[in-house]
Amino acid sequence: MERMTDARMPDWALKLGASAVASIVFFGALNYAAAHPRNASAPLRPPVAAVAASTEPEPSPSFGEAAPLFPFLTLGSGVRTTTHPPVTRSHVS
Amino acid sequence: MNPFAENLETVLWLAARASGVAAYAALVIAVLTGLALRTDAFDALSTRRALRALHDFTSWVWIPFGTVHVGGLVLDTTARIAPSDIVVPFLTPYGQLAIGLGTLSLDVTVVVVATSWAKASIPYAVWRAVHRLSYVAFALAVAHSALAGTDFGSSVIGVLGWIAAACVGGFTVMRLLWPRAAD
Repeated sequence: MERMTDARMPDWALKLGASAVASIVFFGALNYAAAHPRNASAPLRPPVAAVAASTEPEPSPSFGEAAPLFPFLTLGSGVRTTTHPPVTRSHVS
Repeated sequence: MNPFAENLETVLWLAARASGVAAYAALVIAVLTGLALRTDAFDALSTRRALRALHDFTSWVWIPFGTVHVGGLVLDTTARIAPSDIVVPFLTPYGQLAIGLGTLSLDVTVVVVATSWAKASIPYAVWRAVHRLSYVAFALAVAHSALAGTDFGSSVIGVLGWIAAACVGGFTVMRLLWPRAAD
């Protein structure tokens, strides 16, 4: 009597297939998420941490205020306002 | 924020999103293989013994992705998910319903898996009643994905997600209308 062979999938193949499907979904979703790190149509938006509001303007950093790289060299602005009256005409006018 | 911390937050955020989708896929496989044991629909694919082995195995497929999904969101400070939000639903500072449904789904799934592992030491009727809650857990997971999933609104992931949910729904109807003869 000829013995019938069962062509159906064994359990190890099913387990391998299930693990492969879940892994493919994971890496596919990771690839998609990396390509779209900020989704504008995301349904949830966590509240942004409250930033302490200050009414005083902060000075913008400049060369003069930063720690000097060369102490003997001043790179800050040297222009100062004068008490002299403004020049309103030149020699040619 | 220093660049390393910012990069770590980004990695956690991407991993949480991807593992959430993968955990959803693993849940679909778990529920489908459970339904396969109660209908004749999958008999052409494999033997009932092999399908049962696969169904028992699916917990080990789902747990890693679920852990990365939840752990990533807790560690990601931008997401503002507290460790207590893993267990207690509807306490998050935003999206209480959407995130709370995920918490409930996780809680129910953990109970279902735990009772399955302890099946030998609990009455069969109790195990069966608890195990049927897996349909509720899956429905909660679908609702959580639809309401909170950042990528569920995208064309590819969203369509595949809804097709998977429809497959589970269809086979659930089949299980109710045409159960396996041995039932």
